[in-house]
Parts: sequence; structure tokens; C-alpha cells
Amino acid sequence: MRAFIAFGANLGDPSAAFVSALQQLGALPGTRVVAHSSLYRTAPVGVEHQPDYINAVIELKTIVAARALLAAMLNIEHHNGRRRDFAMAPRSMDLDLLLYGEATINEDDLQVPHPRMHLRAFTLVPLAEIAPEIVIPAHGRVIDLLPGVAGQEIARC
Amino acid sequence: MLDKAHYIVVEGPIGAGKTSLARRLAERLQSETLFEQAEHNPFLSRFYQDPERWAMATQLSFLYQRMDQLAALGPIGEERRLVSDFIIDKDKLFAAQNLSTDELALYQRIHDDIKPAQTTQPDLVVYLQARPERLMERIRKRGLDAERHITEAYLQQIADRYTRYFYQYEAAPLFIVDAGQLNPVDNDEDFEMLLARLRDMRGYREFFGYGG
Repeated sequence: MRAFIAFGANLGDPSAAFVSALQQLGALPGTRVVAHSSLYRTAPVGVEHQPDYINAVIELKTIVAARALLAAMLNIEHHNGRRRDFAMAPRSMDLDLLLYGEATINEDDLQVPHPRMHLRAFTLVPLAEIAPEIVIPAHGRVIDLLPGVAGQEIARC
Repeated sequence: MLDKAHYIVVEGPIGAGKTSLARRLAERLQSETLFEQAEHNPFLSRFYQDPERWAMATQLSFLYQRMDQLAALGPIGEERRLVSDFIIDKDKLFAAQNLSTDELALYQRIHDDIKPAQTTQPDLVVYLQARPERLMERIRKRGLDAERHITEAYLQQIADRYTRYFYQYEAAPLFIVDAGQLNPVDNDEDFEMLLARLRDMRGYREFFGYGG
């Protein structure tokens, strides 16, 4: 299965956390990292006095089922010391499952495609870098969605 | 041994009581559990009715289930203990028993392709050894619909495979329980005795029965 994962971090050493995420995802059974975007920098929305977010998107080829992949991602986040002090607390690593093949999954704790991915520059821009033609179920191709987020500030690191 | 072990596996043929014992151990040790989910294998009951036809699908389904479980498992160590009712290698044991030569070769290719080079090994294995009559009795007693068609001949073959497999097993300290004589699942005294023996275990291989 072709899966896309969003990486985000704004604490500690984001580029080291990114390398660590790539390694740990690539070590899952029947899984390899096919591609990853550059790192991007965005200002956090809704909270002041926090460092900028560093975002990227990772493409996997995997045999792991979506739910097990999600569990693995939570383990990797946890392993890298994510803090859950409050909803928008700074994070040393945040992983979100964006796309899992062409699947649409609507469960309490697992929603694919990620419900707000088509509205955010920090997912669409890195995703467009590695898979511009990919279709987000119910929303369309990534490149066609880019103009909708053109007003959001994002810069390649 | 028991207090230092972080990843404990209870193994044995179908009907040996591994899941029940694993659950009981996990409760006592206050550890997490990782159980085989035979009920989520859509081919298993069909396999017992028509083994030749459904063996490959059954094996592949278990293989992928285990890879999902491995992926979701995360690190085990000082902060996290785990008691499980299967070792990853059991797949190969059942595959060798149930698949034809051509199927086995194909299965092997898929297996080697998707299994990670390194998997976490248990640091203590409790192997429940029992004769086929005893296994059959337990299977009848639990009365699972999917298992109605299991034959004693099949249990004999599986029990033999387990015996041979664990005869050569060296990946972790192995504690062999004579589940024909002892019943640590239902009998409190046997369970306490097993715990005491596991705590005191020093060697790499020990046998637990009234005789030994």
C-alpha cells in the first residue's frame, strides 16, 4: 500500500526528529520509505510565543494495515517524547496519517484522508513536492488544491 | 528469571491452554498482553473443514496479521512488560505442516520478503506440552465453532512439530511444562508452583512436571 504521513515538530531538534522518524518508519515490517519532502517552516496558528513548526511529508510503501500503522506512529511519537500538556502544546514529534492508498476510513480515532489536510499549506505544499498528482479522496488532486492555500505562509527550510 | 523477563511467551499446540495461562500470567505480573487473533482470520474455520484448499489463505492471513501486530507493538523494556500467546516463528511451523511443496516455496518467498530482518525475541518462553487426547479434550470443552472439525490426527502432527521445534529452540530460555499432569490454568496450586519455578529458573532450559 502507498501511504503518506505528515511530520511536524517545533521542539528540540526537528531535523534530528525527522531523521529518527524516517528510520523508525522504514524499520516497520514490510515497509520502506519511498520518498520524503524537504522540511518546511510555518508559524504556529492560534498560540503565541511558540517556536515555528517544521513540517514535511513522508511516502511509504507498506504491507502494514492502516490501524496498525497508526499504532506504530503513536509509538514512534511517544518514543520521541511528544508532550501532551495541552491541545496545542509544543511537540517534539507529531505524525499524522494523511493517505492510505485510496482508502476512506471514518472511525473515531482513525480518519483517512486526514480530515483537514486539504485546507493546510503545511501538508499540501510538502505533499505536492513528492506526489503532485496524488488524489485526496473527495477533494481531488493535490496540485489543484494548492491555490486554495496560497495565502498561508510557508517556507522551505 | 521471571522478574527479569520483559517479553514472555506462552506457546504450545492448539488446545494446550496457552492463551488462558498467558492471560493469568499477565494479570499477576500486571503486564500488557499480545494475543493471536484467530477469530480475525476469516479462513481458519474453512481451513479445518477443507485443509488443502484453504491452507495457503489461512497461512497468509496469519502472516499479515502478525506483521500488523509486530508493527503496532513498539519497544518493550524496563518500563513495559508483555505476555504473549505466540512466537512469530510459529507461522513457519504451521506452514511446513499444512502447505504443499509448491505452496510452501511461494509462502517462503512472501514470508522472507515482508518479515523484518530483526524482530524482538522473547526473553522467556513457557512451552505447554500435552498429548493429543488432552488437547482434544480442551478444544471440545471450549466449543469454538471454528474448531469443530479439528481431528486428533492433526493435533498429533502439530504436537510433534512443536516437540521437534522446541527440542532445537535456543533463542530464549525455555521452560517446558507437562500440561498433561499439571494444570496451571485452572489449578491455583499448580499456577503458584509454576510462578515459583519461573522465578527460581537459572538455566536455559528447565522441565516442570511431577516427575521432574
